Amino acid sequence: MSLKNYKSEVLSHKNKLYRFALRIVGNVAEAEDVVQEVLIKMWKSRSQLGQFQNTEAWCMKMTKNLSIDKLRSKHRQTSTLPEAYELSARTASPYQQAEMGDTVSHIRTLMEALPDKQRMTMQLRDIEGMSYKEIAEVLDIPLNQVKVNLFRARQYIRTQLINKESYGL
Amino acid sequence: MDYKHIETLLEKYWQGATSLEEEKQLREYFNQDSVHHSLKTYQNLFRFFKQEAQLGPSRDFEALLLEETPEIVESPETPVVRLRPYRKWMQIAASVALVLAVYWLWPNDSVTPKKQAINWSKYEIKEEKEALQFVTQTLQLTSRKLNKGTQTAADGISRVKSATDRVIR
Repeated sequence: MSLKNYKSEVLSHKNKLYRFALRIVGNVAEAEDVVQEVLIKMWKSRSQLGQFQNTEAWCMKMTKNLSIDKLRSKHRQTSTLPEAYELSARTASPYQQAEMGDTVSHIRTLMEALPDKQRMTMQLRDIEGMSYKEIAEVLDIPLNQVKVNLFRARQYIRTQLINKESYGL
Repeated sequence: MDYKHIETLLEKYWQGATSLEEEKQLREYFNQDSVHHSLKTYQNLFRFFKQEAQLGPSRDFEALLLEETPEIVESPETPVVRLRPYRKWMQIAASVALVLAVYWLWPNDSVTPKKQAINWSKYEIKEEKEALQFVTQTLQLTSRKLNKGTQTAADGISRVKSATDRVIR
């Protein structure tokens, strides 16, 4: 694969890869590290890229796996969380969340409180606009599980938004 | 956009039942300046999605890629050397030869003389006298062949003659 083809088939997805990595690792520098690693690996295995029907999905999968590995590695070092990447950070109360103001950062906090598979599914659907089939391929889960994850994620967000309203803030 | 329609789409959205096109309609509606007061609760959610979709990395991955993998050289595509340069021309020649062979060997009506149909009608017996004559000759031939003597033939002839005489009368 030439550099020209690599740019159009791999490098062109860097923004999407970055956003996905960021959603998992929660840190800009680490997300960029992940994307850089993905791009280098994809270049080094460019001779095999022709066999993939969907290069973008393959890049996203690699991003997911490297992001999760990075998260696990970080949490092993800090050893504060029992599970490496199950960041169920539903620790802020609705009152505390509402205190953050009527801004979109409140939504970011809600999303970060989701279990990782629900959070990733919501990222890929509501932000990246991917189909259920594409999401299933990237996350390596059955199609039904994609629908279940999305349903649960959206129900949680809806409940939290309604609760915020009922505090009258 | 009719807010009732949006309300219906929103209900579908929470159930995880909207299509990508319907979700696009929701994003477009909620990213307007003003939305129906009953739907204001959810405006931040869709604004968040739009903002997140615009995020991108600040790192120059292309430059870093060149640093990390010096074998990448911006050069023209390496020309592909055909190992069998005449293969294409041989295929064309073979096709032409096949067409010519079919043309030459295909049966041509003007060359092959048509077999004349036999006009059997001229051999048909049309008259009774002809029929008598035919039968007589046949019996004589039979007699000669079987070597049964003239008496057998004469008997046959006389029986036929008497029958035909009755018909003619």
